[in-house]
Amino acid sequence: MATAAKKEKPRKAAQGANRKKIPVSERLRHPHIMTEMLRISLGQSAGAQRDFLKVLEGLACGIREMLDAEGWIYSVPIDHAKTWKDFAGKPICFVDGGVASAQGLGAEPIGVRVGSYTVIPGDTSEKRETFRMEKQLVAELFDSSSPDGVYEDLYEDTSKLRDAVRISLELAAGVSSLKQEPKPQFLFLHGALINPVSAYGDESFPAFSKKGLELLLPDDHKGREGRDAKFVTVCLELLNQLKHTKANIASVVERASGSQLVSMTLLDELQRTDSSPGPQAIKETKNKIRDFRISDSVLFHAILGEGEYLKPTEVDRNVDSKRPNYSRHIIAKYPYPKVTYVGVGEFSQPIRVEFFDGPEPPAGYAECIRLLIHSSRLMPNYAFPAGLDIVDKFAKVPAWMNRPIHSSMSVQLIQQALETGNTRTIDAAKRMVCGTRRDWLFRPTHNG
Amino acid sequence: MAKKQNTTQPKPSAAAWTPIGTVVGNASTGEFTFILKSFKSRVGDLVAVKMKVPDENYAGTNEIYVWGRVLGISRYNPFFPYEAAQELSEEGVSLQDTILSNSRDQLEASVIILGCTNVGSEYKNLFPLTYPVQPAANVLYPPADIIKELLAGGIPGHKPMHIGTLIARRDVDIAISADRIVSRHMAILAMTGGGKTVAARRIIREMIEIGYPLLILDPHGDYLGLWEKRHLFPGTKVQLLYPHIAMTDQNRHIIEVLIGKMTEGLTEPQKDEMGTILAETDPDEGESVLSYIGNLKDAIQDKIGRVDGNKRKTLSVCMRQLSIVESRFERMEQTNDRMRRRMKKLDFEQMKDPQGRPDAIIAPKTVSILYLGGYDHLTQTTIASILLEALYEHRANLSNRIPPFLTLIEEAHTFIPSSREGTGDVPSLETLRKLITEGRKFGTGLLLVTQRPSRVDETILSQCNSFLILRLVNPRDQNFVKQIMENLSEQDARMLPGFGPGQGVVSGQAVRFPLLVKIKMDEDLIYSDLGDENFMQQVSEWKPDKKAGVRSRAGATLDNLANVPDRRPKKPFRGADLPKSGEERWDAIRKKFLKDKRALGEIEAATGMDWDRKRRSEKISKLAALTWDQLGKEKISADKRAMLLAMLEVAANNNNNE
Ligand SMILES: Nc1ncnc2c1ncn2[C@@H]1O[C@H](COP(=O)(O)OP(=O)(O)OP(=O)(O)O)[C@@H](O)[C@H]1O
Ligand SMILES: [Mg+2]
Repeated sequence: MATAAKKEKPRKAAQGANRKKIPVSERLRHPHIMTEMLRISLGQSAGAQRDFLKVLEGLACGIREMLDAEGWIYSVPIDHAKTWKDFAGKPICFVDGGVASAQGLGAEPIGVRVGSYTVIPGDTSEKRETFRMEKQLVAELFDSSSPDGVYEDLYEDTSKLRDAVRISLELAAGVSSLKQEPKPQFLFLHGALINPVSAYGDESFPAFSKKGLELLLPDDHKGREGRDAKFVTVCLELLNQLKHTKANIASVVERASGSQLVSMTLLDELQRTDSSPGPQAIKETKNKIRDFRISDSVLFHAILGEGEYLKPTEVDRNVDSKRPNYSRHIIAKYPYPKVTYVGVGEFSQPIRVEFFDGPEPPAGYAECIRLLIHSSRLMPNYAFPAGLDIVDKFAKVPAWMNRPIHSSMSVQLIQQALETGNTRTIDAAKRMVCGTRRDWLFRPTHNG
Repeated sequence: MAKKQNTTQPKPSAAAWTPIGTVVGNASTGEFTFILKSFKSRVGDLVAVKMKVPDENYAGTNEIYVWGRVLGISRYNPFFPYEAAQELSEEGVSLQDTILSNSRDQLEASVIILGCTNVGSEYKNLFPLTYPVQPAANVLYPPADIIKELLAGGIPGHKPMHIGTLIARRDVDIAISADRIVSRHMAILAMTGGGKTVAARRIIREMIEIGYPLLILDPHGDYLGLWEKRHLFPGTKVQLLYPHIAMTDQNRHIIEVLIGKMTEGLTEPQKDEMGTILAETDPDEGESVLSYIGNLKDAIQDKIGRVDGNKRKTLSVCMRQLSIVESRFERMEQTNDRMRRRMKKLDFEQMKDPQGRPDAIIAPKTVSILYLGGYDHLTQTTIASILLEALYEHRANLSNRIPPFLTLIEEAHTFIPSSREGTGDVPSLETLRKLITEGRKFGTGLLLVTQRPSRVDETILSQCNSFLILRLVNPRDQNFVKQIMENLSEQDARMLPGFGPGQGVVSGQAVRFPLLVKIKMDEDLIYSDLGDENFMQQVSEWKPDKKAGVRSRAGATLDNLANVPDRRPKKPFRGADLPKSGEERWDAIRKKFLKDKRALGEIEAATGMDWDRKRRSEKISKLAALTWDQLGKEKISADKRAMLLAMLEVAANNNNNE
């Protein structure tokens, strides 16, 4: 281990890699990645399909070259034994939530549970694992007849109301988990760390009710009303509370999305470096990426090998042009996430990891990422960190409960409808309950 | 009445219904699954779910408790991705060093529904569930007094017999219906050591309490101790009987059966001749088999003088075969006698003629134990057949000579062997078939006990309406049991090999629903050893009897004589009849066992004879390799040698028959 002296520092791929590097072109020919590419290219026109691989290969090789030259690709050595020894005794917390599916029954119920799983690797005592339900909510979104609703008022797009509840509850759970024993040194959330919030920022978006605020900001809800009680403000407050702790905080997204934000931002940054072949070439590159709808996850899948990750890159999720006037000055205060893609295995899809802007977390990006890579390598296909999988299973209203609850509620509804004897009511009830047209209830029956 | 008042009131113990889990998945009227909190229940537990069901008129709802029994519990870690196991083992890292979780095992319990009771009413009135259990409902662990009430008395109006407790709850007694057992029969099935005899003794004891007339067919002497413990049953007469095969007008055909099975048999003309002789020689009512055989032999001897040629030959053969039967019978009687005499503390009486004196065997508050030790299987079944046939007749012709009674049959596979066993029709098969089919009409109940259910006649066994199944390991036996018991659930069947002594499933008409039971062992019925167990003490106290010296001197002289060649060949038809010396017989018989792989214990089991418990694990081939003299040098006493010889002769004969 010639580089042992530098092991705690993030290293440039060229120096640090002690495993054989696989060139981009070869990686792209690998069956695992090929199927993924094929899936994407199938959505494109015949001509585009033919050229897709060629384009991708060209882009990946070119961008990789620039990144290498700038030292913007780092590498983490894969070594379970050493990693877990290094993290022994350090409480690591994973937070994730689940939303119960109770829709279709007329009113606007919402059920969210956010759990945490804190684990101390290497500990053999009873304290090793702590499972906690940090935040639970089963309520109506808005209830004019009682103070039990989550919001003060309703909004035409109820799915936005739901999303806003889920996003803020997950952040609130992160905040509360950091106050519990054992105090987590690492906190990993699931999903984007900083979400686009402009869509929730207009004046008509209702404020949280007293009940909602109590749950979200237990220490700081009194006297909040109006703008201060609205999602955009509450969410920012929660983000700031998180940001100003001593814990190492990151969030993880494993699902491929169509986003090209990181590659676009990175290319802009590259353009300002000596490695840039010039503005025109960068512009061409960006055009090709858009043209062929090559997403960040696809591009970095091709670029990043095992244990490699990009220099965390600051992106703007809340661009000024989209901010509604009503909350423009608040949204302006939102942090910018530092986003990186991480190659967990040579042929597995990279995971996206997001940090707060500003200084590196206390342990450094590299340590956080090393922990995430090794946690992910405990999962099938190295998909994403096992800790998040565990807390997801814990918090999710388990499938075996979800289904029967749902169907028993549905059965009750249909029974009520049947008791009215009104065929229209019965039909409506059936339609409400049954998502698919092929369901048995829609089969022709003797009484139509 | 005051008590009744009490039970209909809402229970003061209502608070003690502890929630132990949540119903999940698809529930039906027959079963459900629930997620169990750790350490809150065990397989075999009774649990309840409280829920509402529509009332009879669909006008409102009733609140009920649904009762179920935990059939199985499976445990898994839902948070453990299996792929991690590979990654960890490849890297030599333990789960605890990583972020993986190992504290969250889930317990999923499957429950079979037994029925339901109305909330607030008596728990005794169990009715079938007609509406499925509600998913997500709480599963409750009922307090012991409620379960006791649910199980109390087994079946309403029936005489309860306490046989033990729930496996999972020692605080809850289980009672089975005595009424159902005496009229609809019961079978106790388990491998050896499973606890059959202990369970049977439990049932017998309860029957004794009721004063029900009992008859026990006991090939191994497992029940003889009941006599020793008779002071525990004041007012009950316990009698130990040894067989007496009494001839009647109707049963003389058994002589033909015995000849057919004990000897190489008769040809058609020989059979005809034998038939004629039997028809001509009427037995005295109640006379013993041996005396009857003697009469038959006299009759033949008589005839032989008067005929010649072929006829004479035929008669000679009949004579010889009768002699074989006679000598075997004598030997078995001797063995039985010797075995009885070894059990010095016990008083045996000869069984009275069941035809003429059935009331001496079957009477209220009377337990008759018929000891069949020393007899081979065929003879045991013959004895059983003659006895039970006679008793059955008394019941069937409603003569009122004897009351209804219950017969316990140990080693039931001997008495009702399956046709697959190749033993042919044993005499008791048809008799027991009658008893079991007509048991309800005439009160001839059976309690069948066996360690090899699959060797028992299937149609007869399946007429038992109740079963107690203890530990069963043999897959053939398990499958067989599954076939004859429709209501044995798959999970219960899977538990059979795992049961400990006295643990099992009781099911059928004697209980309201199948239950996992731990049979109560009556410690006070464990008897002191019956003489053959404590060899150490026997040896230390042993002194040769007075004649021993004479015997050994004379024996030596006679042995020498035996070495002198015969001057004349023996008469052919008397040949088999002449008593041979032990040595001769031994040399003839041991050849057949030189290559026999069986242990002596197996021979004992096959013949139904006891020899030497200490030597049960030894291979017969080892002893067969020794001469008569060498056996003596092996510290096998003259008595023991004689018994060994007798046993091998029986075994060889069985081998021939099989
Ligand atoms: N209910 C019980 N509780 C505790 N121990 C028991 C119970 N039943 C049986 N045992 C133990 O198992 C031993 C064997 O029991 P038992 O003689 O009844 O078995 P079995 O099935 O009749 O065997 P075999 O086929 O050899 O006659 C007993 O000596 C006792 O130690
Ligand atoms: Mg026994």
